[in-house]
Amino acid sequence: MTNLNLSPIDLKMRVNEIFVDLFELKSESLLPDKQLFKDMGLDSLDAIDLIIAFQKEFKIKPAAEEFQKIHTLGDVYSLVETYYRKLH
Amino acid sequence: MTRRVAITGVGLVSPLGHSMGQLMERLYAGESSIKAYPEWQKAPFGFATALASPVVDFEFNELPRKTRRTMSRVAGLATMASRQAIEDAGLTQDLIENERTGISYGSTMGGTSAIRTFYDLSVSGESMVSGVRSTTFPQIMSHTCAANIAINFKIPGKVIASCTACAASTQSIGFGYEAIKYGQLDRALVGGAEELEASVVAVFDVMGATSSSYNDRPDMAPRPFSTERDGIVVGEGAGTLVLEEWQQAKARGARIYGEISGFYTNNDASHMTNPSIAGLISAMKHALIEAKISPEVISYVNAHGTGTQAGDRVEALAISEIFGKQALTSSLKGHFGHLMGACGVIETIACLGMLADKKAIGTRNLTNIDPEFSQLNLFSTIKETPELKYILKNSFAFGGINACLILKGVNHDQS
Repeated sequence: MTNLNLSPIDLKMRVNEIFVDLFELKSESLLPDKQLFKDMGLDSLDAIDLIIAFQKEFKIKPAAEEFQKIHTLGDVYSLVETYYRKLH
Repeated sequence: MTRRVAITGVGLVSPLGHSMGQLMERLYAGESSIKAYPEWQKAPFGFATALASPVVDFEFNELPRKTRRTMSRVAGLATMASRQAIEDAGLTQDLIENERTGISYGSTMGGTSAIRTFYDLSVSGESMVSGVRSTTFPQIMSHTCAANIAINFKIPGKVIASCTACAASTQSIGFGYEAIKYGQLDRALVGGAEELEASVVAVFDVMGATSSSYNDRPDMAPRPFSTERDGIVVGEGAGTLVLEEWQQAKARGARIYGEISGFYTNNDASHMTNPSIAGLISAMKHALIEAKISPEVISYVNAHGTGTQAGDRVEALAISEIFGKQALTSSLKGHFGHLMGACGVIETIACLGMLADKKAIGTRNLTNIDPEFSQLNLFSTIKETPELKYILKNSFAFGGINACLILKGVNHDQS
């Protein structure tokens, strides 16, 4: 459920929960400098599922070209934070 | 020029065991896999039947996430059965990742639980795409088994995905056989799978085709060819065979379970759900012609025999027209129900066991043979059958589909 008052830390925690749930990653492996494709083993199908999950969880819909610029988990945190603040 | 086709690998996940050895042991012991599902008689199901034949003790969580994410249960069953068959055949990686290696694999209609999830979301009041993921369609699609097997094992050759409901896996075996026989492939993984899903049971239940008289005595249903037969029991499972061109199989020293020596498939072209005697007779006769053998050579017919009034009657009359009492005839659905897209291949695997053991397994629950089938050699016991060389195997499906295989044992003319 979308919470309008999520702090940056709460947002990161929600993003991490999505990564654990969708990609079966251990929460302790979720570090901001980790590369999504190279280090975390994601691929293009996973990227689509991530966008769908963000849409559902935060009601945000990052543009595909914005998403293509993302390389690390830290980039994901920033993108979600930016879109979330625009919306809320 | 045509080529002979050997069966060199077997894998299965079934309600009566997860290996050919377990399956044969439990069939010979006369076991039933039918279980009670009393919840199906209540809302939201409201079925007449409360019976099914599930696969128990099965998981495919050991597969990597990227492999598993595109699989519904049906593709998981198909993949695990195929892994077993590949190992059993001793196929090396260079033979697997080979353009001359293909797949012919089916199911009734794809990932039925994923289809149901998709439609549940569609009618939930949320947006139609809410909850849909990038992997939803690969789980649903009719060729989900074939595609998942191909990608998981890196098999690059020709792909055939027959999704002709209850005839799917028998057709898949036949189409794979034809691809090798006519030189399009040198080897193929063939078979079919099905997952137990209530929405599929509903389809048969609403047509009055499910067994409901034995809901409190599951092992008494279904009752193929019996006077008291009252319908099918839906089940699930997966079976995979490795087929290889005969000379290449011999050259690599493969163990040969048997040979596919004939196949034919046709359509009744008359009614969507009522089978025709003429169509079945034509399919069996043409399979015999394809195998270049006369009916007298067949000493056992493995019938489709689902346990419905109409289906069993038509098949019995068709078999008796060609074979009369000369061939032993039975259905294995009395043991493990109707495994739908997997029935043909799992019954074929049982036939390979019978050919090896020179035994024919009778129909379970055949206590009172329908008197109309008096011209057929139906039986309910285990028959020692030293003369067993060829088996004719039938499968039929809604849509007028008939599929018929001729299986040959290995102890004869192996040159």
